[in-house]
Amino acid sequence: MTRRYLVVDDNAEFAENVAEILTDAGAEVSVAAEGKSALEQLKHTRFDCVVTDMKMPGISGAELLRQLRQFDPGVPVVLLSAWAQDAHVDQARRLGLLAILSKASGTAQLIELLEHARRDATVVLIDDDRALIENLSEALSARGFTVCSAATVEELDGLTVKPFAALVDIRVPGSSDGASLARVKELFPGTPTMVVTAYKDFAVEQGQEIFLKPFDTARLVARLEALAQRAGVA
Amino acid sequence: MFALFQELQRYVGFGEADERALRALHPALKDSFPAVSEAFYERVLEHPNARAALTRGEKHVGQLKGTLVKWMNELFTGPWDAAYVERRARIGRVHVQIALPQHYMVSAMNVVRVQLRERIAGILDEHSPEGRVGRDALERICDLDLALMLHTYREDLEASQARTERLSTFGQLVGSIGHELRNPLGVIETSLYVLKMRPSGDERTVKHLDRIGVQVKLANEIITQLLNLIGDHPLKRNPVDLAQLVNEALTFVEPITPLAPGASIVFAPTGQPFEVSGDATQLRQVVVNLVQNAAYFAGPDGRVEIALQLTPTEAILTVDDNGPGIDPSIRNRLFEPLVTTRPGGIGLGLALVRRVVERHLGKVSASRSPLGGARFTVQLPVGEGDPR
Repeated sequence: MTRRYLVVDDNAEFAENVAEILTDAGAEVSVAAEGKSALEQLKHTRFDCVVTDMKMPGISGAELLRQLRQFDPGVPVVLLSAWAQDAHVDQARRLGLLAILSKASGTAQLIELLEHARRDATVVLIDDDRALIENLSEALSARGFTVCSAATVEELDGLTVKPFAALVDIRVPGSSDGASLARVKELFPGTPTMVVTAYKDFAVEQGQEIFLKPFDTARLVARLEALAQRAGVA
Repeated sequence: MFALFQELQRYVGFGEADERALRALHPALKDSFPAVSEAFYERVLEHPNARAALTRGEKHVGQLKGTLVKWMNELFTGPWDAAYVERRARIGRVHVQIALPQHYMVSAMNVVRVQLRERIAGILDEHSPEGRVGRDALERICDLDLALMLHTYREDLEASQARTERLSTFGQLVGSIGHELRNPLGVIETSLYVLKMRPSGDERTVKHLDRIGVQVKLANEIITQLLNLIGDHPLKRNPVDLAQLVNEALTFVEPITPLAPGASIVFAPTGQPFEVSGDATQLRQVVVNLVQNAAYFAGPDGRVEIALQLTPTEAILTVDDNGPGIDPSIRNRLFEPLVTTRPGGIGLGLALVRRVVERHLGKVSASRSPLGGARFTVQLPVGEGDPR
């Protein structure tokens, strides 16, 4: 089936170039110059993936994502930003992103990400280790998974996604051991949940699946793949 | 600075009579200096802030006590010349470096003053003419020393505040420039991708398209470096072989800093692996920056030598050159941002080096090279570490 993409950027030349490349590769591509018109298109068309710039006149890429998640929690989104670190990017990470790329970091990489992007393939990741979040996000985005990450239990409360799996560090700042796990189970009942932890002796309930840090990323990805199949993620 | 000292001497009325009086007191006083020093640090370290700052800045209080004894010996024997002034000024600077507020200097000086006054009272009758002359000389030299320390303290503090301000404005500027430059670069890169997908039989077209690609990558790399310096990218830790990393880094150096015809960069790995745990991209940048600097300063017919050593606890990388060595005017600020003596340089290279190395829990230092120029030494811990 023909893939459909939306490219949102106020830099018309960049948006058109990306559209041209994707069209050459056989996809159908729409372009929007700012967030509002992008949201209009997103309400009426089902896209396989959205690429948006962060800094745009009107609403930012992060705000576009926030509004988008109100009515479409499962569409993969690639955020283009010069800054991998700022408050808006952190907000966007919590809302679920396929990847954060900087412009000029390589068209081939962007194309590949888009081609592998999967709808409704969201993994929730609770961990305060930023490096781990970034590394895992990278590994997971290559398989088309969207990662929605939070560093604390409070940050979990704003989440509007519908994950097929959750990875939870049981010890995060600002709350007692295990509170993060309890909250995830409350927010996403029935979602397969795995614990990632550096503390072997933490008493988790019987049958809780654990990935002890440092874990084998390939094994974790394979496990998520199996869960995605079971959940019927395309 | 010495002119200031002379002016202060006139102001407090410190003259040859005082110098004579201090020298005369020295033989009888000097044996009590270690006890004065003990008492001094006992008092000063009672204060938690002072304790924190002093033990952070210099781990060994024992060493500090020795320094104070030496300071007292100099106080009483002089010569009260330019070198004396320079040593006193250093004390003010150290206080800025370890972030000890200047009022600590005032009260610390008072502790020493009271201690010494009492010791002098034990030797000379304070109502005798000699007693009065001795005490006056002590008061004057203590006033002078304090004035010098406070003066340099203020000078250094102002300079460091100005630097911080410059850096914060600079950081914002770099951030927006980085973003704005990536827009046109993104367009160039995507257009290039389109062109490369449309095969051309023309050899020169292919060559120049490749060349554009390399330069776009390079420009992007420079932006990344700038943003890295002001941002806070997490380290991606993996086992890294430093020998291989140096070889990779060298392939980056040539395109950016073309070597003069007679110049050479020498790296002869021993074949043994030099494995550390670290972020390969960021560590490679460390090597690139050091080698680039070395190659630049070594000049035509220059020589740059890169070597690796392994100790049980550290992997050590040295980069030597036979250039003019480190400019003394920037020696103390070498690793600070925006400090450069390279025409057209913006002074980010070594700042980034230090930042990356320190985030790997390592150390970087500069010294004189056996080749005659500068040597930069990077020490990285090997084995288990807790990375930040």
